[in-house]
Amino acid sequence: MILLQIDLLTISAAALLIATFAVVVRRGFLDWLSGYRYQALVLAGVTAVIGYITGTWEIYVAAILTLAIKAVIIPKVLLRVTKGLSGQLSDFNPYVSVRSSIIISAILVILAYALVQEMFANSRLDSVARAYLPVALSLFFIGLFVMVSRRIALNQIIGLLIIENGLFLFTVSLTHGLPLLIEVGIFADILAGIIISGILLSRISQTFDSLDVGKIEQLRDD
Amino acid sequence: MVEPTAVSLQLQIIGVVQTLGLIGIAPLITGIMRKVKARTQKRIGASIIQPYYDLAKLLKKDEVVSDQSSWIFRSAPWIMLISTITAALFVPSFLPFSPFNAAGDILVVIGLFALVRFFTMLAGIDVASAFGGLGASREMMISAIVEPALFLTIFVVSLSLGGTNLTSIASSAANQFASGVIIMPSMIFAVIAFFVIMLAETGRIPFDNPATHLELTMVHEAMVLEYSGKSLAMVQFSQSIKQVILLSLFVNFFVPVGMLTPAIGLSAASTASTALSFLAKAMLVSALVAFAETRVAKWRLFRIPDLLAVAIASSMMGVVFFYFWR
Amino acid sequence: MVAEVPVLAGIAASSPAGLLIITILLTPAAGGILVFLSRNKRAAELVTLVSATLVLIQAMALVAAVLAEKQISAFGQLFYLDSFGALVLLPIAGIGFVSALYSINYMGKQYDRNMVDAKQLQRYYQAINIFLLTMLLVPLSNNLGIMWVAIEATTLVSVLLIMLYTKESAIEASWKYLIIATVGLSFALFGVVFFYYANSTVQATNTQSAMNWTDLVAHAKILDPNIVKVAFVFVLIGLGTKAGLAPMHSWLPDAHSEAPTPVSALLSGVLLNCATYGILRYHIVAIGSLGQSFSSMLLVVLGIVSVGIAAASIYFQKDMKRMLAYSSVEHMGIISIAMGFGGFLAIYGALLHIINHSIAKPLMFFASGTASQRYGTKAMANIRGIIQTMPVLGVLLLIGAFAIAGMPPFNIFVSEFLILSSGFASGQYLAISIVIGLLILVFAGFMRHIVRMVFGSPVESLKMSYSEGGSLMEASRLEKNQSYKLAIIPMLILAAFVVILGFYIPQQLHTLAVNVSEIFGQTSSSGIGQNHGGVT
Repeated sequence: MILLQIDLLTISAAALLIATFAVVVRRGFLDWLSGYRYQALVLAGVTAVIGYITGTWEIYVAAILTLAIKAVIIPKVLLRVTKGLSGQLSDFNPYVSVRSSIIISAILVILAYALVQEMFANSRLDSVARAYLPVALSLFFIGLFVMVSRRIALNQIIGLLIIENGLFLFTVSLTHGLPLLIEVGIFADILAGIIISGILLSRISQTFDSLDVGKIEQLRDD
Repeated sequence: MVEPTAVSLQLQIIGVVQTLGLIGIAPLITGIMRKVKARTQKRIGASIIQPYYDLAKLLKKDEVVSDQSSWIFRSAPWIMLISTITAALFVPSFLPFSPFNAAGDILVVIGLFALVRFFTMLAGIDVASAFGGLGASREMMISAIVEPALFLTIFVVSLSLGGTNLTSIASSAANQFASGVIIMPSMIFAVIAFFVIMLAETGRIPFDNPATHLELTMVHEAMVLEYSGKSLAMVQFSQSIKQVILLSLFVNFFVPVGMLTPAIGLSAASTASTALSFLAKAMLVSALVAFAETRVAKWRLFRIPDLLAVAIASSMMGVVFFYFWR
Repeated sequence: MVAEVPVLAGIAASSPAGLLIITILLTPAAGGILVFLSRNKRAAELVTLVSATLVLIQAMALVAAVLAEKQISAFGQLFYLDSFGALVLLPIAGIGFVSALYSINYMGKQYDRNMVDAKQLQRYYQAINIFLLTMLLVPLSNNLGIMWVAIEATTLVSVLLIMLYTKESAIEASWKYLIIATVGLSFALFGVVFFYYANSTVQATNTQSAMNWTDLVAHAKILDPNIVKVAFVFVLIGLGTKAGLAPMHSWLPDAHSEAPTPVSALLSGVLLNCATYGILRYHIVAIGSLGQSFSSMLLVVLGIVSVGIAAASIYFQKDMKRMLAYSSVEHMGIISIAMGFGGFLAIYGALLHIINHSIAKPLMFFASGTASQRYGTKAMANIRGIIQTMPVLGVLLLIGAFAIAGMPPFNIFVSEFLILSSGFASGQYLAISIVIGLLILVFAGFMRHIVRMVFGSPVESLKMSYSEGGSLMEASRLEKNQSYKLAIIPMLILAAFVVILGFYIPQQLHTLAVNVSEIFGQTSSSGIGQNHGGVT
């Protein structure tokens, strides 16, 4: 039974990583979005599993919130925002080529595992934390990498969302959930942030006629 | 369950029969793939035993050999066929073991494949036609990236299932499955990587289109364009065998459902059930490959490394998961 | 965690001062709602001004309560205010008030020039109210999670304020700001969770309060030092981004220079304090857990880098508001260095510096905003002879610039002097000499720009900007609209404080600062004594 439990944890962790890679591999915005939605679904499942193992009802609430906000509302908002955008939505010429990004992301995953090993060398972690902490850190790193390696502004939002998923997984697995009030506050912040960035995106596409962040570089000291 | 050193005559015969069976179904698998592909494309398609007719027909035909070619061109088909058949001897397919494993493990199988590829490329260059050289250079580029991915994947599989010996890998996969572990986390990543590599090695879409003679896209077909008659039959047959070997590796590594375990023991009934389940799984996976093939378009040559990067990254993560999964 | 019933019970159980915490938060919230309901420009201005005034009054009352009781709390331990919080709360309320006052003139003129329409104006006043609310929440919350949510909310609201203008540069600035600050804050949340984890593992029973700062400080000694180290680094990167510390500061000059001027004043003068305040709260925990050296060293290094980058950028700057933004980076660096030095004198100086900077910087922003409105440009090369076109403004700009650059006898000189002398006292000669060198460079840069802008011939630059900006008709219309009396009042208030604080530190401020040094674990015996206070 214990063996099976750990297995479930690790396999779901693997599924989460695969979902993240789905975003790294793809080039089109809609693909990123579906990758993100898949990631959010897995994340909600993982959260529910953690809730089941630890037996805290707050985590179930967090799982439902994840499902509702990250898997449904945020993709909807982004889809609606991008419908009216001019300029290219897909990134055919990223700063770092897709194949290098895949390899770099894999290296980042290795780094995350090593870091967690290092950081918690002398503290006792439960099986949940041991399975998900490295994945959470990987999501964080990969999200950061996606943000800096691509040209399209939408990617920065997707990267931000991946980082946020990593953060959420991190809190849930390490501390078995923050107090619900704070969890709700964080969700509200994310949602507001996505809406604001959506408005900004449409303004960017209106004024610059492109979503290429390489072209949005007027403000500098010279 | 099988002592690799002392192999009885009975087991040797079983092993040879297994290999012959594997070689025998090779064209059938090719036929199934073509049929599935045709059906998903809303065509009726040729019969699934059509590849056998093709081979028979080719064997009867006269052969044309360019007077510009050397002995390499003429001997290459033989080398290809013999290498792949030798490789088939080492591969557990219908049974979870191969009695000849003392002589060769998975690395030997990969090495024999490399030999096949080497001679295919040489033959392509040898006739000095434009297509041959073009195909050979493309093949070299692809294989240069496939190889590291393949070795990383093998590394993951060997780590997870203990050793490079194909018999021990296959039987420990069967044991693992029997003891309730459906799939090890590290193997999830190995499956992804191996599937990609299987597509690359057998020249399926998106790497290469096995059904095309469109000059701009072909890779393997370009190299063997000059062959005809008996030689072409050998080339095609060896390609089919290679495909079925990879398929059986895939099936026995990752889907050990219904596989004979040492606890059950070797008997006529258990052997028959294992063999039948292998046949079913192999057909299913080949249908899956063919179906997956219809879902994507052939990629530009320079995007191919992207996909192989997926395989490499996936294997790397498999290694990570192996070391941290305890 | 706060269930339905305890809401009422929490209010009932709070002291009068605790009630005040609730009302000071409700005031700007109500203001925001009222502005949303109002249909009219005047009403929106009035509501915002009234709510800012009420916030200021309540903040003063809260500070008085803190002076009497040392610390107050509400909702159990959810909200909490001690002397340190009070020192941050006071500038928020004060600058909030003067910004509201200045907004009426400045935004009114922007409205007349069609830079903003009525709807945008309403949105502006609404966002200003909510911005105040989120900033007030930072020093008032005891729960570190709520503090994080509040700081993230300040980012979102201020992005809305910066993107009020729909010109390209404003959009770019707000995009950069949103992305960089949010990523930074996600680092900070990692740190917060680490601290929470460290604290919840050392106590078996009640993990609900493990996120409270008071609880964290109480357990600082027994926290796992490894985790505290990692956690502090994450928090420092995260909140350091928001506080504009150097390698993470890249968004700051853009955001601060593209925002409407009253917002720039709030961003520079107050919001940076909120983030710095957050860092220092964790710094206190880190000191308790790891001792002085670890976090202090990080703070000093980041501070010096900030001052260095800011100094170079100020000297070669062409845009007036960007120069001021870099000056904010510089001053945040100085505060960080001072906190890193530790010791009573340095902390006392740093606290004064927080107050002084948040008075002098808005003054500079207001003055430069009015000047650039008059000249129609932010480029310093095109602004000449302010003293002739707008004499009062010229004097105020000079006062502000002298103060910001650290000239005696203005307020920032006092706090910088205290900080530098504390550095000498604690033997940090290398750091101090670098900082002094950089401060001289900053001073030179500021004087170079400001003197040319204040003196010099106004005719040509005005002519130039008008020929660039539009027709003669428009120029004459602008000429008529140059009444800036209402804008002068908030500047005069700030300038008065700049001068007064240069000579005299009020007893209340002194008491607060001494109390905060105690929170940092420093007693007043090591530096200037309590009896020394008052006049410096």
